Amino acid sequence: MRKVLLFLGMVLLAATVASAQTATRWLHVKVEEMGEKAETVRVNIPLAVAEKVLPAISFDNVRGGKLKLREGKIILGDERLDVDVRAILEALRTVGEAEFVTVESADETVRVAKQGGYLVATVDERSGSEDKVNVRIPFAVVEALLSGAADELDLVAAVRALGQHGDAVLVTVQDKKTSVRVWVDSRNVSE
Amino acid sequence: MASGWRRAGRVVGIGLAALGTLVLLLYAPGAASVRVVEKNPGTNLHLYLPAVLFPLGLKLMPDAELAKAAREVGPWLPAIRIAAEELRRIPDGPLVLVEGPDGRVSVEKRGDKLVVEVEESDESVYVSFPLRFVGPMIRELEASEPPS
Repeated sequence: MRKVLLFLGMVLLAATVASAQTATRWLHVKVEEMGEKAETVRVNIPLAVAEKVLPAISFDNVRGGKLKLREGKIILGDERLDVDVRAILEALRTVGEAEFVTVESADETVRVAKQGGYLVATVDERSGSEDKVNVRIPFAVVEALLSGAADELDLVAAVRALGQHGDAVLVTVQDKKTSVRVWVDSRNVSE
Repeated sequence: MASGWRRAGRVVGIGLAALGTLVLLLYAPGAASVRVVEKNPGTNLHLYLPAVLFPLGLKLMPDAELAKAAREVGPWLPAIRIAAEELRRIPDGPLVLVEGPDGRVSVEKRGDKLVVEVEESDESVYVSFPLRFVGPMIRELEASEPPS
């Protein structure tokens, strides 16, 4: 009888630990530089913390967990993505699987497609740089981003949707000097 | 004469008990630790301070200085306060790690504390601070922020 109770206790403890571990999902960012003075930066953010903190951030076009778009474009300080993000995402809702939406601007060509429940995007810069940007975001997250008003992206809803999704590599950026990787999993340490 | 010694002993005993209670009250809620070690023979500093004194310390800061500090970090204060509260609920782990030829910087959640470690060729710095005291400190700064 004691052994049975001990076994049940161990099972209960293992289940508690397992559920506590799966409850926390982490967003990881890893930036690696190349060269002599190369630095590596790793950031691990619990999605639960991001979900609570985002509404409290008031910076530039970010307010109340939402990113206000300017004529459909993302503008954060000096950084701007010169394409109508919302229009692309809305267009993807209506196109079939693996069909590309191509957006050309002065600086870059953005190709976006819907593949197997993911938004897949590649960005090619025109400036002759060898930057390669690949984005792969679960479409549930895209839907959550678009769930707000017409001129904004709902970041909190997107983080929440991301937390409910399985492990995924979201963004990779590669150029001559730097590589960036953004992904989500249940581990609290970066690789 | 003997009663005089007894009285002095009692006073010293009460004083020590009061001091012990005070130390216990100050340190029991948590302590902040700061350690700076210069590798070439130099300063070795190790402070172990009651964290409860930090919000009190902010109260004692000149209003103008406090308002200036609050203005500079003002927009981020609510986010920092909420982050500190939420970090207490998550499992321990590294949050930020920067490694390069000049050294290593890490920010890690360990138990109830946020631990920052800086390792450079000439010195190492270690700071740990109980997360639960971040909230009261931020509230103190928020209260001193002039209305915009």
